[in-house]
Amino acid sequence: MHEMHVLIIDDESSIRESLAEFLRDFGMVVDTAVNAEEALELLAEKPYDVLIADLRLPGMTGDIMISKAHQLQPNLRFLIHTGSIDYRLSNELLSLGLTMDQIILKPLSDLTILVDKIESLFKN
Amino acid sequence: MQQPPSLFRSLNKTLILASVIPLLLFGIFILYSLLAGDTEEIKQKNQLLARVISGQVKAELSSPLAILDNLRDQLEKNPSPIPGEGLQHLLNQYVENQTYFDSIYLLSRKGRVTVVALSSQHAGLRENISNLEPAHLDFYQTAIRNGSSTWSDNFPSLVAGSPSLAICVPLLDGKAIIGNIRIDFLQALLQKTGGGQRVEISVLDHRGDVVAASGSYQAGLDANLSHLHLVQQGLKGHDGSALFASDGTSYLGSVSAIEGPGWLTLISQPMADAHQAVTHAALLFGIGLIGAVALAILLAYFKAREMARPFHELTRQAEMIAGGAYDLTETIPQHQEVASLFESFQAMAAGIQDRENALNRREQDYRSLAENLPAIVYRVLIQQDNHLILLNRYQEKLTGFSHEEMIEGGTRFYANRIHPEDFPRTRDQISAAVNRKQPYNIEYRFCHKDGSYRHFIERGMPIFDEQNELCCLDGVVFDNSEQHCAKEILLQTEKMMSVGSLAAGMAREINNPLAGIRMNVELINQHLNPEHAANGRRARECQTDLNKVTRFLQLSKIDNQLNAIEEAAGRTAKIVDSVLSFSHNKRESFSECQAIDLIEQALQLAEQNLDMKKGFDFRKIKINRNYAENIPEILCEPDQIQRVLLNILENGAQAMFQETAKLREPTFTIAARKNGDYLCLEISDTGPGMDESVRRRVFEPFYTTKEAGQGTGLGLSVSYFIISNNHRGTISVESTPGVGSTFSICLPYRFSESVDANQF
Repeated sequence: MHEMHVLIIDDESSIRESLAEFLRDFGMVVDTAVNAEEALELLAEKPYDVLIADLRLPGMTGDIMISKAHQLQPNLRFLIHTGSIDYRLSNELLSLGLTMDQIILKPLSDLTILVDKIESLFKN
Repeated sequence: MQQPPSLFRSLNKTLILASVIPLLLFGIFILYSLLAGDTEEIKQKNQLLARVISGQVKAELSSPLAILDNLRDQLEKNPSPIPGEGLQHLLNQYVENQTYFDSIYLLSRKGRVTVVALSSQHAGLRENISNLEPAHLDFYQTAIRNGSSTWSDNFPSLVAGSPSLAICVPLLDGKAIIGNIRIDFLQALLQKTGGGQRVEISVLDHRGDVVAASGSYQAGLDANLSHLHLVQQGLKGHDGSALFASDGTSYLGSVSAIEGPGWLTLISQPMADAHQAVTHAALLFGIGLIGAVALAILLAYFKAREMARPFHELTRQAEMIAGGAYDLTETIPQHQEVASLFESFQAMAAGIQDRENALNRREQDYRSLAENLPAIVYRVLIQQDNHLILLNRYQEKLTGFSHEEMIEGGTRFYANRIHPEDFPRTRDQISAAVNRKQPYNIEYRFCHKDGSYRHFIERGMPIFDEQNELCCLDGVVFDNSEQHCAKEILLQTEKMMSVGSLAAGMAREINNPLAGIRMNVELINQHLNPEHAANGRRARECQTDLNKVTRFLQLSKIDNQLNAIEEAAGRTAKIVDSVLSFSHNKRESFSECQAIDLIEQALQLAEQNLDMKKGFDFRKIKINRNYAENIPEILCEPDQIQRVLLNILENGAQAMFQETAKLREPTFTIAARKNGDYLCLEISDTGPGMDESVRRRVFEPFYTTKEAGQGTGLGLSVSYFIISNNHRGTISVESTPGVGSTFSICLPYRFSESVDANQF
């Protein structure tokens, strides 16, 4: 199994860094970005396998960022890490193939679930 | 003021005057001229009569004279003296053959009676004659002297005993013949002549003695009328007429001389009698006058009545109009002027009626408007001891008091029923408005008759009179309770909403760092896991024995501390969750619950949560339970309800453990019962209670009586929101300072309408 390249976008540093550390312990290569603009810059430079994003971001919102990200890297898989309990996928995101399974609610008590979800993204 | 005279009287006077005056004038004029003419006529008539009678008398008297003349002639013719017996015989013959003389005498030259011849009637009186001495008599002497026949004056005849006259015829030889005539015949003549007349005919001798008279001559045959001027003139030979008075009666007299004896015929007619025609005329006039007056009165009466009729009619109509009836019946006027007056009256009545109708309509409008105004409209008459005037009866609806109660009680009564907290403020506001001569706009609570307080808005203004003195306060009072409540509810709701959004916003904000904490704790746990491959690798890298490290960490109780962090974070997350959760009103989370179970669970939680650290022990609180039987289950979100109950219990416990409450044993009294469609729970404490100003605000977000840092003041506002918004129930509190507070929660058994999802 090749290394998983993950891009984590969250404006909360404690979340972002702990998530990154966690996944690194599992042998993933993890990059982080504080906002959408930074993320898109990174996406333009290197290929990633998974994008884990909080949708409430300063500046460009997560929705638009995901659309753009998809344009940049069509094979990119997405996981949405959000605090809103009743977040609903917009039509646009639905059209990109996102499902409810790809929504993770904060705070995640058991981070290993994250690992499972990432793996399941590539099972099909 | 005296009553003016009636129409009848005036008309009466006028008509009477109108008929009487001309009549009188005319009458007087006519009568006067009649009288004058009459007098003349009568004078002439009587004059004529006098002349006629004079003529007649003269004629009558000429007969005896002729006889004596005849005798004289016979005696003088005879040249030789006739013997005495022959004389006697001659005289007797003469006396016998005539009717005039009752005796004839022959007188000697010396004037002694020589022969007497008496008529057979008076034969028995011979001896009286011998004593006659006619020589002394005037008429004898006059006759002898003048040598002509001379009549004597009237004298009572010795022979006849009745008035007689004598004629003395002188003879050539100085002797004389005297004949004695009874003048009864004159009387008879006069009677005959004057019988048909209404006059008194009298014959006077030259001395003025009445010789003969007709009829019932008042003066009598012995009267002497020589005192009358008329008679005097007549005896002088002046015929004429004049008025004379005798015995108080006025006479019209006419005289005519009788030639021969030098006598006078006097015709006397009493004026009254003379002017009988005139008197009759006057009488007729009088009757006519009376008739005219009577007619005048009658006419006056009827005319007055007729003339008064329109006045009566108009008076009646005026009374009708005054009484408010304008339907005047048409009357047929009698005169043009009255006609126009009647028309004017009709027009006036119609005009008044129209105006009155218009006024009535307008008054109706104003009245109904006033009645319909949904407000108390008042006027306080300051200068009349604050007498109160109310425009309509709405005060009954607003205050529960009747019109009479309000008016009688007046402003004082009203003021007393304003809430004592509001009264000073309203009083001052009104005073200020009066001072500034401006309207006032005040709000206050008013105690309704049923004892509850209503929220009133009052707007009014002070009114000043010409002397710039305050004379009244005019204003309106509205019941603003509903709007006030609604406003408060709105305010509460807005606050709730702000709380909600605050809470939700805050919750979301907290979630992130919280997640950060928890995730890092998780990470640390992972890094401390000796079985994790990466850890082993990192241990080998720094040449450390992972087991020793693990043991070291165990001794330090790192895992305990990490657990504590996790627990705290977890609790925080739960709190955030619960705050977030109450803002979402998903029906799906509702379930049927037994209220009593919820209460008991809340009590248990309270015991667990509220411990010594907070300064009190919940377990020291006495719990009185007052649960009704057969309370059905309610549909609710149990966590939320429990949260509310816990909040109340917490507040109550804290209150009871304050200084002032320590005198009484801290007690909760919890009641649960069915109340119509609602389940009602009451939690009463024995705390110090709250006064009205605190009680009103207890559900306000961030309102707290605790010191800073001792609580956010959100608890009850959230509870309010949960109960009222999420469960469509009611939550309220009553409190009595010094006694305690009672929270009442009422939850409906069913939701009839769908509950809104997420309010935020």
